[in-house]
Amino acid sequence: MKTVLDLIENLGQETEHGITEHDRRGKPVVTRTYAEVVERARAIGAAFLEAGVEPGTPVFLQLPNGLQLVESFLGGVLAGALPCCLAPPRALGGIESFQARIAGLFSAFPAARLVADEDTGERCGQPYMLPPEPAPGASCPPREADPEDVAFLQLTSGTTQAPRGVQISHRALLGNLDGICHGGRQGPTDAYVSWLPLYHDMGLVGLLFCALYTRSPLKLFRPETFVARPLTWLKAISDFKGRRVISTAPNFAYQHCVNALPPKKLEGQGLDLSNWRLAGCGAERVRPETLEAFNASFRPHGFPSNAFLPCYGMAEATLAVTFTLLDGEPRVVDGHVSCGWPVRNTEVVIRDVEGNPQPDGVDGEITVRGPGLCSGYTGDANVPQPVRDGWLHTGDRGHLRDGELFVTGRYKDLIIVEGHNVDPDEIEFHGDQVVQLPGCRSGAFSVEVDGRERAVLVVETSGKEPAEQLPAWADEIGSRVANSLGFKLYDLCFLRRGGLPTTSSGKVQRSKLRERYLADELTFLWQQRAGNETA
Amino acid sequence: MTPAEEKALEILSTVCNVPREKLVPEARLIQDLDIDSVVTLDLLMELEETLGIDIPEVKAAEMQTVGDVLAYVKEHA
Repeated sequence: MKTVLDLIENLGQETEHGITEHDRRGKPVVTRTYAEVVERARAIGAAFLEAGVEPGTPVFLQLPNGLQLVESFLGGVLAGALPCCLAPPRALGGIESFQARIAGLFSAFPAARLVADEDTGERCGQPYMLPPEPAPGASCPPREADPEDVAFLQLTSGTTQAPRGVQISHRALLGNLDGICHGGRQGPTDAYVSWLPLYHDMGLVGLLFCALYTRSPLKLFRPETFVARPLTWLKAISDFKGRRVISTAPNFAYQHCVNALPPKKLEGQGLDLSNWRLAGCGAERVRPETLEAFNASFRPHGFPSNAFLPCYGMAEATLAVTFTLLDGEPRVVDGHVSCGWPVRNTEVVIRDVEGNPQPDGVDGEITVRGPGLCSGYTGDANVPQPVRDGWLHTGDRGHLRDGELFVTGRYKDLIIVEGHNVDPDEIEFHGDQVVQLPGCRSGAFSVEVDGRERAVLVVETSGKEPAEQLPAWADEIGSRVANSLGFKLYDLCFLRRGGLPTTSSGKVQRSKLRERYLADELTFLWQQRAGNETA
Repeated sequence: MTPAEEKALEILSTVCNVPREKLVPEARLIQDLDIDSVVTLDLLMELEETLGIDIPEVKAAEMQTVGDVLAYVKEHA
């Protein structure tokens, strides 16, 4: 198998296993074998061509987790377009930021197509097409692809800021799938359960494509079903009788199960998790206390603690960089969970700021080389390319011990809320937009509160505003952040102009700002911390 | 107030853990009541299941305040 086209061809032979789609309430609605999925994907590919979708055109898919999305994605690849899954508008106030996000996509990719259902399409403010219905007998003509050709895009940023598409080649996807499935000894006797959104690398590559690659059955759920009813996830795994299940999620999901499912809610559910063979955990920092708490809650229900597989990866590496060993307990050293060893054919080198490799045990930037590396960013010309001289510069901090990776922090200014990456720009933008005073800037960073990452925004003002101005601005900024990003700021502080630490070139130094904030070295004019309003 | 709206208020109060008197129509769910994404989705699912209604993604994205939720419930339940 050299290309995704080969993968789809192979998948089309599978007449036994397939995908079961579940509705929002977690009820199974339809099952199709992979042979049927591929047949429909071929017809959808033909419909894309008929609709004039040119090769290399980004096709943004705004559809819920389900068969239609999977088939449209594969159909897009078959037609030579660049499919890319999009996040839906966020519930409770997300409509405007959704429209801004879609507008941003079209300004970065003017030739792009947007596929959405009618409800959503009518509200996105841009031209859209309905998901093509597969016509009986229609089939996309076979085509050749070079392994280095880009097969699809994964978006890494996406609010009002310029969107950034990570280009994944056929070579990268297949190279990374090989690494993942070798590391996890994944094969046709496995089964997959996924509620992870397909616009997330872990959902798309780590679960969907692994299932397609190994032709294993997949139960596909919607993310909102898991979040609102976490027991649905565990029941789905438990109910997969006779097969050993692979199901992966970010750290927050395991913690959510612990918090939302106390022992008495599990009574009488008949939960038996002994067939869960691989519980991958990644996409955000893996916390030892979460693994421990999950074990304590679910070991009585058969969860094998050696099923936990902490891992490290990112969309720029297609997905996986390192994997822990199968059948071992997670290892914790100095409070850091081991993320394991590089997947097959992949290397990790820790470097200092000058790029020199660092010895064992010394922290530096994690850099990666291997077949899964992306072909670069597209869509935002202002962002530096992540792969330089053949190495992916992750912006994450960590060290190696005998080849084993420990991720300890971040150099890049990134805020991760519930497994989703938020660029500090996306928060600062609202501070700047609301205050709009010459020379005043904003700085955002994250702090850890009760084991969760939360965002803090510091905004400069002239210091001469009337008393009622600052709370009014705070309210407006808070409301814009809540509407566009879906969370409340942990702390919103105003500082006199010039109070933000900057580099010699005048850029806000977020890491230094964070240090000073945590050390209580900043004097604020006004501050509004969640749950505790002070003047 | 219709019985469905009454029921919706009860769900809002329980799921969001907010006393009834704070559930004024203009209260914004995320900003004022400080509900996070987990509570948001739990709330929507409870409303759908208890009231037997369907809240499409886009409609849910248009709601911001307690009043928006009640108006939708009044129209659809």
